[in-house]
Amino acid sequence: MAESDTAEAFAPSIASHIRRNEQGQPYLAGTKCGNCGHTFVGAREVCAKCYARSGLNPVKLAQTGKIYTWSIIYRSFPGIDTPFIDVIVDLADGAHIKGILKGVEADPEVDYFDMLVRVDFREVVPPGADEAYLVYYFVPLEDGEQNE
Amino acid sequence: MSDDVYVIGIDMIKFGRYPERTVPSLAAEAALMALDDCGLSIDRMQALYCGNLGEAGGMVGQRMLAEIGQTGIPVVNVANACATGATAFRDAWMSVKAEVYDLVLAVGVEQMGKGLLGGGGGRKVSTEGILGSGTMPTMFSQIGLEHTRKYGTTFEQFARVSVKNHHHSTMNPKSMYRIETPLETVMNAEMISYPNTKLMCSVNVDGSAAAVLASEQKVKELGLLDRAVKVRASVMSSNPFEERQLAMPDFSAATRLAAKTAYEKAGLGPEDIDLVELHDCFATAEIVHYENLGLCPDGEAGRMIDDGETALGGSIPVNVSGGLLSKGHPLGATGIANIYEVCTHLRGEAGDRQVEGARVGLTHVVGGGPGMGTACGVHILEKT
Ligand SMILES: [Zn+2]
Repeated sequence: MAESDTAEAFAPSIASHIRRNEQGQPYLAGTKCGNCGHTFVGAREVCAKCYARSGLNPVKLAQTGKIYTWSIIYRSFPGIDTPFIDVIVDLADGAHIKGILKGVEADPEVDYFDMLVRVDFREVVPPGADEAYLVYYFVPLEDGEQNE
Repeated sequence: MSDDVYVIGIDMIKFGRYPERTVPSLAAEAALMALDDCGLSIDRMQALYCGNLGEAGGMVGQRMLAEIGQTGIPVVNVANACATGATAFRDAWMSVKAEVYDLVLAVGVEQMGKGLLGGGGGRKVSTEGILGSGTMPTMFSQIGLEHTRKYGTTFEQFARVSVKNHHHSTMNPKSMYRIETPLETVMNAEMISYPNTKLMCSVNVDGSAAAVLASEQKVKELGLLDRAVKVRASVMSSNPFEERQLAMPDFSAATRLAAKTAYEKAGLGPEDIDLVELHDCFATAEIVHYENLGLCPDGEAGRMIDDGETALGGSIPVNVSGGLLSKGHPLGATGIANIYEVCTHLRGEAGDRQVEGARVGLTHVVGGGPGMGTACGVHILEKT
């Protein structure tokens, strides 16, 4: 029972690629192919790009990136608050990941392309759930922060 | 090389909402219409390929035969996202091409509720609104804005697709909706996922479509060559590896792959195509598929819609049926309904919306979703 006792100190993760290190610090888990160099979000055994079956190494994904494309969602499934900005982010290490951009107003007149962002881990209670989960959002990179 | 394969009978029901009907009964209606179109009876069919998503585990093909004639033929039930109907048609085509059969039936059918499609891949706790949105409009809006990023395509240009397809549908008695939607109406409709408003999203409807396919020898034997349409290419693809596909499902690479193969198999190019029915599940999708199907060079899709090239009367009319945007999108039926539309033009039987002198047409469907992958079908058809 010791393991689960430790785990209960933290909110569970909402998705398998959102993890914590031994100190409880959250990070995004990825896999880098040692053959072609592609960086995937999440764990995997075989490379979908070059079909390599070995040399896939677990990595902690970059915490910053750049918005590739986006949409503002005005209608979602019942019970989901809108509007929100759904973004596809090119992380600094070359991985690509979807998320929600927080900390700026949702306005279709704004040009969100190439906005620099960083990963922001939070614990929230998802709609319909009865406990908090570890999740991530994106927030604009502040002045002086590097996209690396 | 085996004989060419022909469509000799094809039809679709008027798309609409039929909550009182069953899936097999909708399928049966289209099947009988297609059989009547070539004057054959169900006992002449040697196999049935039946496409449906909503009751994919429910043996819809066998239940359909229970309504129109239990002849004991082999039945294959297929499900393949929005390419389900095209997959059933292609399986039927392959069986004739391989000379296993020379007369077969393909059916596509769907009964749908209203509302948003999409989802989060069966997780215990939904990530919708937390890690983004898994709705279909969101995926295709991001694909549209990717086109904006590359080429500056505007909200107004995307909206023009919907204006065009709704206009086309006013001439199609089998369309779900038949109303004009001016540009302001489209742009001012409820925004679902920017830049797609409600009028730029396909309509969830019930529908069915069916086709009878035959070998060349069989067509001649039956004396049905007059209205027969030759299948010049029947091609499918799944999503090849694309850089961002795990973050944003990719429908372009699969479409480009299938289109390239289809043109090669047919020995034709985009310049030989007289009309196209493509997968306008969202207005933004139609724009990117102009380029994916080679109808224009990359970056020119916005100009193409502005210049009216894809409207009826233009150089390459697209979705003269009204498309998924107005005719409606009953997932499993769409792939055969598109083939029906093209065949109807090639036969010169399309009435007010007839593309004059149409001899060669192309159909395209592509489907999939977050965390699932892509299925694409492209058919090239010719009236000889
Ligand atoms: Zn690799």
